[in-house]
Amino acid sequence: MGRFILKRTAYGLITLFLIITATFFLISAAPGDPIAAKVEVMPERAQEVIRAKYGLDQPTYQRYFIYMKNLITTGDFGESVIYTGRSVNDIIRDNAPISAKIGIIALFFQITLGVLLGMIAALNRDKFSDHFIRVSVVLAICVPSFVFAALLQYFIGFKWGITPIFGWGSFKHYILPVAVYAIGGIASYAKFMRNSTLSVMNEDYVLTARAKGCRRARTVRKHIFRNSLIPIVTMTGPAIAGIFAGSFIIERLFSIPGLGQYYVKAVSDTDYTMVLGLTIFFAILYVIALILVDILYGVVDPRIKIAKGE
Amino acid sequence: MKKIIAFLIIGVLLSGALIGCKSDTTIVDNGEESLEQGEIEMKIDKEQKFVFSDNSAVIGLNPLLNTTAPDNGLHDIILETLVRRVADEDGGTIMEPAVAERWDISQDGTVYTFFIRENALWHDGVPVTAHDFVYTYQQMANPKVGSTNAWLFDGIIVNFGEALYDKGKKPEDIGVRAIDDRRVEFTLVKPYSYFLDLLNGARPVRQDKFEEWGSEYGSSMNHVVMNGPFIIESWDQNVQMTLVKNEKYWDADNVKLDKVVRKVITEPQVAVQALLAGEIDVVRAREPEHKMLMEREGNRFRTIETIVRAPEFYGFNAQNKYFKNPKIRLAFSLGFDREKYVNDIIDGAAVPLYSLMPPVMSVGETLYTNMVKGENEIIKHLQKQYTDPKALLIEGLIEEGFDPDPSKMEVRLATRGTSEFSKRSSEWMLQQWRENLGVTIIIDMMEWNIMWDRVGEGDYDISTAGWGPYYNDPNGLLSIYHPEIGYFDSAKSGWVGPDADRFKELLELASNTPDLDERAQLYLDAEKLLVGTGIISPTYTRVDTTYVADYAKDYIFNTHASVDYRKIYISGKK
Amino acid sequence: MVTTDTVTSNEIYEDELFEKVGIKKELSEHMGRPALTYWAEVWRRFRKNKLAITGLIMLCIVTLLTIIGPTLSGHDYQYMDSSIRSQTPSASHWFGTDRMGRDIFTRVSVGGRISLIIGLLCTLVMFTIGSILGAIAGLKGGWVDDLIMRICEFVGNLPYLIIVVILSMVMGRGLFSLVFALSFISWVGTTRMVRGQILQIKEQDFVKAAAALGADSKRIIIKHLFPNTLGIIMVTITMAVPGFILGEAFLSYIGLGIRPPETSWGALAAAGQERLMFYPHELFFPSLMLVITILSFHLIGDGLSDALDPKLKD
Repeated sequence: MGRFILKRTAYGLITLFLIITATFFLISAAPGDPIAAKVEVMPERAQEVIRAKYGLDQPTYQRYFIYMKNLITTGDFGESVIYTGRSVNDIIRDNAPISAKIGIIALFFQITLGVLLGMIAALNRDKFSDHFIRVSVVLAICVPSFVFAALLQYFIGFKWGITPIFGWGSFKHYILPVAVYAIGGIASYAKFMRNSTLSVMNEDYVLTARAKGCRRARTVRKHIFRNSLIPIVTMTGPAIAGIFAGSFIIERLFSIPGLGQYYVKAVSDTDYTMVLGLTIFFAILYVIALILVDILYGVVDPRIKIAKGE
Repeated sequence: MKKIIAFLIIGVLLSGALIGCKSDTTIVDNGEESLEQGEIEMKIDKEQKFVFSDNSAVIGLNPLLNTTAPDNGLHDIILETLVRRVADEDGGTIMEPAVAERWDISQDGTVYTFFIRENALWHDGVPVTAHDFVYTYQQMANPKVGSTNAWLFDGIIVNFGEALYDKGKKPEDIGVRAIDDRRVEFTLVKPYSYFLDLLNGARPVRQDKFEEWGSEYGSSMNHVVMNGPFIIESWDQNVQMTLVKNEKYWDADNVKLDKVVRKVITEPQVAVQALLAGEIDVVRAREPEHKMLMEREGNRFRTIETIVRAPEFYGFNAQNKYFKNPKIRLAFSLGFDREKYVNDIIDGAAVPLYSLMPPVMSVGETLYTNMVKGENEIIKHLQKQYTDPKALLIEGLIEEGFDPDPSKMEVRLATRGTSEFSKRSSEWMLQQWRENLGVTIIIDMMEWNIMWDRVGEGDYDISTAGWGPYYNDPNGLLSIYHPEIGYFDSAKSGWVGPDADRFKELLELASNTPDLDERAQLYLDAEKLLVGTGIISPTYTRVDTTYVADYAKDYIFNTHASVDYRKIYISGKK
Repeated sequence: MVTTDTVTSNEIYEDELFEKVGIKKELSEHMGRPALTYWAEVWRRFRKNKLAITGLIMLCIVTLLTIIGPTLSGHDYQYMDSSIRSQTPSASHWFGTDRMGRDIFTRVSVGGRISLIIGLLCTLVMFTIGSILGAIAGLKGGWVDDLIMRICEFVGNLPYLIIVVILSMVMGRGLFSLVFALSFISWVGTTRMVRGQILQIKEQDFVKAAAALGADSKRIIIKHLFPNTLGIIMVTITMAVPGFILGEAFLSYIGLGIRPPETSWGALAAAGQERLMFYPHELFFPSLMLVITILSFHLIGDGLSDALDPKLKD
């Protein structure tokens, strides 16, 4: 177990290094100039002065070494080119919790409702409730989130005045964004849960349990439920990492100050320290989440032994 | 003294081409206000709080480094410079004393001496002195600081550019000095009549804190010293900023609001909904449907219409194999209907431009258009002269040795942004040029900083551009095409040769011509070269409609002067 | 090992298989037959699924519409007529007109072409790269497997947005570059899935038996691994198409979609979203087409996965 984690961590670090390097050169190669985005318009020689200040006049590989050295020795993601005076670390610290709050609440609803609906559908296979759940689930996946968000804002926020239309602060501000965020996820979890429950229901151990006279409710609880959760665990890992990234559309439509907004703006501004810092942050979370999933796998499914698995 | 001040042409510093937003004002009064004038003091509400929204966040509070439009707008409230440009109720503008209680201008107009008022204080109680301004300007002239507005003073203040671009002068050598604690003196290269306008580009920092906080200066509300009428109480970058009245402000007794709240709302329709729901007190609306919504509310909102002084135009790359020919350029410039453009794309909320100058630009106190008797509507005259732009295009194609069939011609149109507006306006242009000229247009949708990048590399055919001048004088617009120091210098515009040289000469000449009529004429000649040979094709300038809740009184601004929050007060809010 | 419904059920047939192969060693061509009946069986079960058939029919209608729509309406999808801006549906403009005075029905039809083509092409790219890499990883094992899995982890972590932005900047905004950008990272999931499937099937007794009986690896791949993974791959494909269609819609929303004046459902919906308060039809019709299409793909995918799953045999 210890060796496994060690090995995965080593791999994770290599992956991270590659991601940082690739992102650095990609963003440097991207057209557009952070200085132009920062100052909007100014004569060329005035821009040179600014570029020199941020070290952007040096060749790319040299900037790469400076960046890596700084990152490894101090863990500092550097100062944003656009958000003058604010380090990327500050921005992550200030804004990640906001994305995370919405994300975690949404994820909670996604998993609980998704698992519940999926189970109900599977256990009532081909009955009305199954069809109903399946169709609503597919419908929920089908509507693009910006359309769904616009509809909610228009009706619930504007027409009926139940919730604020936008903004951040009170409990009421959570309702619409969480609903938009959760809806697609509920659908995918329900779908996966249904499939996985159906396949578990036909496993030999379930049939054996039933044959031995185990009551249906007990079979569901003891055998089916736990085993059908396995694919859900796989899905949840990356989803947890993803909640910090926030959802750009949701944050933009509802004017929520999460990380997702910063990320998209940083990309379009080619604010390379910001893009890199956020990418690294997301990548670290992602790698950790994947390792956790592998460990959890062993916990949920006794048949899989980590030592043997890759 | 006052006379000199009065004709100085000034504008609030707009922070770039894209944000032009203020203009001459027509207050469409929904009645009642005049009745109340006498009883203002009686009717003033207990809660004096004003809430507005912007579509982007304030990035930072360091006036030397943070100069985006939202930054400038905020710095205007929390940091006060020597003078202040304010709009009056009749739609005019006046230059008011601010930190400086008065100023002297030397006979030849090159030396300005400002007298700083005794009671000007920073919000921590430290007096504002002449040294603060000297320090601020020296920092700006220091290339290591990387001040984003510094270039504005290049060629204006003595030795400023030489220090900034490291040409043998040090920041200490610039023509700004403190005579004593209360007097600061600026020495100019030439008698620039719009110098007072430029002062807004340099809001003050204080040496002790600027050095103590270093790169952290302005990064949070605790790392800035303020001297404006309001100071920051709380700041949540992408949500809102709350400002409170600065009790140390020299004119605090006349500031009526206790609180100003600045919210960030990205989507225009959300902002409109917020105004209707009473969550904010003012909104600038562009969509006709949004306007309808608010007009339906009767006199709940006051309407302010302003012609923006930032022209929009298409720039042709004069190095391009087609566009090096003036006839081809002109054919494109003449080959679309500007009235229709304004109606179809902007729903009438703009003025079509046949000249680079929006109708609100002045030379001295008189509108430029009036001074040149409408001669500046160059496109209109040319359209009469060349009734068939397609024939003109074919002529040009033959001159350059191309196939005279325009349908074989393919040019790229670079958009400035990837919004729906950029998309539909370029689609519209595509259709017009295809119908009128028969050419093939490829729309290159790109972020605007990428477009500037492409323009910088000369990798474009037609670019979508706009410019908000830094002061109310035609030079503020014409000089962007100055072949050497303009933003669109020859490297970007591709404009070289005798016309470009003559254009440069005309601008130089105008800046040395004190006679206003003569100067306007020189500007007209310059414009004839720029617009008349199709280097650029002006399209329109916006007319903005602002809706203010009726209980928010004295919300006044125009294209040359931003809102003066000191004057606003709340009366009759339910 | 990400996948869920697996094909472990082959265990049921193991005795039969052993017998047959044991007796008729040379007549291995006969192995093709049961596969044929297997697909016939799948089709029989799929047909019985009403939802899936509805999906299939809806998809056919939508596809037909994108092909003949512009001819039916007789309008040009690009032509702007400022005298008929923002009209609600009428006899001459069945879905109304947009704010530039263009016929929405025609635009929706033409936009559907782009959306569908993008969805299908991206899926094709994803499937091709993914299954080849996944198969190599699963079959070769060892360091090759390790390497491919590391590449997957690496590529899976690349910032999607940056890739898309850079690719669309470097390559222009054409159909090809959009497809390239959208599918550039997508194959990671397919690779993992195919690899997982192969690892699982490789361990199955019938494959071991085939190997033991002297079948070379090429034969095992073609005769055993491929048919057995095909089911789940088909399901993945049907589910991937709507994902790409929505992906394109997202790109359009942030302004990175197809180069105008061409359009797509995503681009039309993004334009309509701004106008929801006053002209809901501008958002409604493109969204409706998006929803119908995606719904169809999901229903078909669900039907397929049920039909393909031998354990769910009734």
